[in-house]
Amino acid sequence: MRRGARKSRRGFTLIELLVVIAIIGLLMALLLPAIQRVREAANRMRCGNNLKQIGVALHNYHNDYGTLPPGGITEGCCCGTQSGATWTIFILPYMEQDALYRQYNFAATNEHPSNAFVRETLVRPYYTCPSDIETDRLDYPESGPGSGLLYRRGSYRAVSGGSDGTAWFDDCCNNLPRNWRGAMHSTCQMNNLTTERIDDIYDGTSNTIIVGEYHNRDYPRRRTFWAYTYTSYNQSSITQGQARTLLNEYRRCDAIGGTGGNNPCKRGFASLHAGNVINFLFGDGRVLPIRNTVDINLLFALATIQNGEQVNLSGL
Amino acid sequence: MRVGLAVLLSFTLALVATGCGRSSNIVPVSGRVTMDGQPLAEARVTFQPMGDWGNPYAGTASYGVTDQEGRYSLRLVDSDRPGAIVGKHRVTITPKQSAASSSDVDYFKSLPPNQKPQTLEFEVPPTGTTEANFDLVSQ
Repeated sequence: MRRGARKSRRGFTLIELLVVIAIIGLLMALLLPAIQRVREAANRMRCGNNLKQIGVALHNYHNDYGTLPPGGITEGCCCGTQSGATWTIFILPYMEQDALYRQYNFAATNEHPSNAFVRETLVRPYYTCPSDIETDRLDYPESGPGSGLLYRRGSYRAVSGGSDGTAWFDDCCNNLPRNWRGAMHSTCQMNNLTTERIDDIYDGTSNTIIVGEYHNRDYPRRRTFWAYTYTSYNQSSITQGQARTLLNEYRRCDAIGGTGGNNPCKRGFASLHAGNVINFLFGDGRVLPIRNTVDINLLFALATIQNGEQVNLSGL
Repeated sequence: MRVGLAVLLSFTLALVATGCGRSSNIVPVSGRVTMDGQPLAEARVTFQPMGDWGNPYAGTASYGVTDQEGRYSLRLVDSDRPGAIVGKHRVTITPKQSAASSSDVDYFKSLPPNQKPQTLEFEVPPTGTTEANFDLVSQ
């Protein structure tokens, strides 16, 4: 009798339950990517805010010294030469990192053991973009006199200038046209390339990118190392006609090939942001996300400080 | 119940299907590269769509590598799908360099004239082309 009563009670059939579960599953499937997108958008924003902070620091540095810091100081021409300090180290006091700045031994080379502490310090949040992967890792850079030393990763690189794929302004002995140089490039005593003043940016600070992001998905030892001065680890260039340098896969950029082989790939700008946007800091302190489907020859115009291009950013 | 299930299923299918209907202006492009009349083998061909400041996002670039007959066909740089975007392109052709050093230096300060990269322009027609041919003169 009791069994019969229970049987007649109203309840859910199996099919009804399955339908409800299917609907819930469907809604979750729709919602989850949306949540991921919001998270990524927030990360991208924080990533851009770091650049903004770097911009303020650069301007404060300029106020005190009358010039922007060098992209890097090298002991001589590329390659294999040891280096001095780099732009990210010079602006440390303006990034609330005065204590770390004092740890750096400016009398010794970047690769000297006395500078190991600074090389291995993680400057969070300002030098790391939250969208990047494994930014807190120590790693050995792929090349140069520091390739056997541990460096801490970073996310931001100075725009050393424009290039045609044959030479670079992170090498102070390049033979590129002088007016292709960027706001922060390598300097050395072998030639008369010096640091740049805001006044030297003839193209206008609002039309010139001075810092950008670089991170790749697949080649850790070619990512950004914030304190490694040597050539292409915290300085990059915009290479004419080579959109492959804006991809976030180093090996793919190398496989596609083109003028300069893999050298332009070492000096790219790229990010892991959704929509393949790359944050750039302009000379006037503005941060603008630029998609990697941009005509790279237009981006080239933004990278140079004295090439005299007519620029209109309203479309970006 | 069965009707409800059918409705639900078709709804889901409709949602999935709408995600796949993107139209594209990507067309197949292939051609042949010669230098001084001879086929240029193992050259890298790069097509960069030309934008202007009113429309800086000209679209994805394309690339190709020539075979022994100098023939190439383009693939998109980002997705590696075959084709190129319709419209005007700046084309860079980089012949194979004989001595590529592994160091970071520019390895072509002293390149022979037939190995220097060259830049040209090409308009990709809306129907695509198999005649994107370039005859270079060694400089």
